[in-house]
Amino acid sequence: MSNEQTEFADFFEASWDPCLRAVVAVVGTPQLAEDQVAEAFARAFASWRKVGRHPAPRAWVVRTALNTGASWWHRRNRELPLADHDVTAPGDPGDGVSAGLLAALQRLPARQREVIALRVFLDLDIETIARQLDIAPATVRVHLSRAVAALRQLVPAKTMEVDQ
Amino acid sequence: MNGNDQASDTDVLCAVSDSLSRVPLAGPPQLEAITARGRARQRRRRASGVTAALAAVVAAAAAVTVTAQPGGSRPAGPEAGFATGPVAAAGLAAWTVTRQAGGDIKVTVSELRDPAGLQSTLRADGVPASVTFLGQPNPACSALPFDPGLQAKIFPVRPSGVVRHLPGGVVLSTGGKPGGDMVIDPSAIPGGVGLQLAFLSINSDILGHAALVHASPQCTGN
Repeated sequence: MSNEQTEFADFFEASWDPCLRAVVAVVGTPQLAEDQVAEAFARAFASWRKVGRHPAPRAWVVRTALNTGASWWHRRNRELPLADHDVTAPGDPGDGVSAGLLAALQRLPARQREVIALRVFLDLDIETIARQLDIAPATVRVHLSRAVAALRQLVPAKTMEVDQ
Repeated sequence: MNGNDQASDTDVLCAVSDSLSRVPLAGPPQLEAITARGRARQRRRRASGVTAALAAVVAAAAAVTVTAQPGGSRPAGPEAGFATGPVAAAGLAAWTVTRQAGGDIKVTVSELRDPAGLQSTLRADGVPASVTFLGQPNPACSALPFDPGLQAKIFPVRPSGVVRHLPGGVVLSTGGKPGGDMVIDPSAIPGGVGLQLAFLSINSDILGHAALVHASPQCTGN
């Protein structure tokens, strides 16, 4: 195995799970996300000389996966969910708070979900997220702030938990 | 944004992370499946690039308007059976021409340098050829109609690498790869016929496009 292949293999092993969870956070359907992430990793392998030098290769994979999904979605005649009952919550997180959070996450606008996914699962800072999404850092902050505000009501405050 | 009755931003983000981390997901697929998919993608991308680049070469060749000058005899090839191109800084030959036991001539191009030297060597070995690199065919050459039967006789070895049939010729070489050399049978070249060989680099491959042309002093040296 060449150095490049070894390098890619290490990257693949370490990055599959965080990239997949980031994409699940955006698309909501684990099975669809797995397909998209697998395709994105295949593309990363095909262009590893470039991707391997990317400042945030995991973000490259996530963006590619989401773009792959967008292309697939357009081919499917843009069958976007129109009401809450159309929204798919990903899997079974195991308790009511988590299920509610994930359902709420899926109701956020796509851009807010992308910002959350890159911030939470890839641990990217605001500047890097802005570069990856090709938007201004201030816009990232606005998306993040709005997303957090929308989700906050479902998260019990730690201080309240202590008081109770 | 923080307060005693509200979760902090960090709490919210941690809760999201925690929730999604508990969603059962499939483990990673086999690495081999991913790399095989990636390699298939590389091949498709390379093939489309090759087709586009060679289409440009063929188009350039087709634009040649110089009058054909058929006829004439080829000079006899010298006894020399081996020649190499200029030695690069790394010590590798840019190209090699090897006469094989049956009289066939094997051409391997590993670097796009010194086309005039390769052309002279081939002509000295009895191959009336015009050799150019980078898709700039000799404007003095006039293409003959594509004749796949004659091409197959002149180029008796089918390379194992990328092979594309394009108007006017065929791609015959993936320079430097096993089985990818261009093999020419000089005895199969009829009088009045010459070879126009154009080599170009696509990604890491060097490909040769071979077309039959009218032999002439300006095009093929006789």
